[in-house]
Amino acid sequence: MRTMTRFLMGELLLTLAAAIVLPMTVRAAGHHDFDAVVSAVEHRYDVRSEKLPMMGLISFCGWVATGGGVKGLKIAEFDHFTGPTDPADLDKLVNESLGGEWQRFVASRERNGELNLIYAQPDGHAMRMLIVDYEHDELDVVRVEVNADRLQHWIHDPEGSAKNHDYGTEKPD
Amino acid sequence: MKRVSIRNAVWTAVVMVAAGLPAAAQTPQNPFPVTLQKQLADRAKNYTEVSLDRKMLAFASHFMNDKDDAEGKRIVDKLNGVYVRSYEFDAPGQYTAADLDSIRRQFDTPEWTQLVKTRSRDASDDADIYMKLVNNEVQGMFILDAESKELDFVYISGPINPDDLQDLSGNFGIPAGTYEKMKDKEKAQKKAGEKTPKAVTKADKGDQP
Repeated sequence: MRTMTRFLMGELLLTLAAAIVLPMTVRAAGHHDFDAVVSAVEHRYDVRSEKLPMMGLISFCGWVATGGGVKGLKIAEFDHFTGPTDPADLDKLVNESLGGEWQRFVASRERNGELNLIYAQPDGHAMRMLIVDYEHDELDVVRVEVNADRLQHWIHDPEGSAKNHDYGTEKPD
Repeated sequence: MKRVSIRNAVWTAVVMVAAGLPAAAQTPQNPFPVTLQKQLADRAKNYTEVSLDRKMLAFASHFMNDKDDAEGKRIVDKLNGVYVRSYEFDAPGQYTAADLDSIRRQFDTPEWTQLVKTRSRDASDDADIYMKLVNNEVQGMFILDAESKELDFVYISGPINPDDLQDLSGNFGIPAGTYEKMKDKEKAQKKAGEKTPKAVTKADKGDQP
């Protein structure tokens, strides 16, 4: 009897562990593009990113507020960032970190060194976007996923979207 | 400052999506030589590069209103890509005739016809407009606008009517006023008694580098 109980407890613990670890792994894999870029910037320029507190809650609020139009918001900040001296260097680094499925669609640089790079990964009606913004010695990396249909619906009828609470089967990251 | 900066970044993205700005860095359709792009960017005071392939345009068109932007949406839905490069320089002489020629060479093929070719004495106000004709249908358009301290390239891939540019100017990274400029150049060329597009022959293209 004791052996059976031990076996069942073991099974239960394993199931619990899987239930906790698996979603975390899946979630982490879903954001590996963002993490890869942040990690690459940290290594290349010898800086550490700052995490914004309650980012998960902010992302969730964004998902609810936009009727599922925007989700998976992640932000990393690098204060006192002295690079990049060459925008092409940063662009290359981000490109390599993101991989071939991403494409850069906007690059702009101002005389004062302000730099904006925007990358996108289209996926049907959804689009993952990664923004790299550098100005005043601060570098920000922002990742967000936009669902065109839902965001469009929300833009044109925000009240209706809120009333219907139609977020589809998707869940926020 | 920090919050402002993040807000700027997010807003930049949202505004660009909403305005239909969103595209692809080095697709085979992109006609701009990579080395030249980098050289011009290095010399420029400010620069903006926008590359929108078909997928990106399709996504952007979701945000175009069916009523207000119906015409723009109709145009965009047919396009294969929009590629824009804009450079602003501190002083004249930051780009050379050879730089421009290397871009023009991409369009020196039988499919492309030069619609406008204006040249100023000091190369401070040159313009070229090319159209890609396939079975007598326009399948692409390229505009080169070179001023002493500014350089703009607009390449639109896919079926397009020259007048469609009116709806696209100011969107997708295409500088506002591009359509009006194009029309002015066309008028100036006609006034100067130069050849009309249909009269442009391969021999005419021969004088391009």
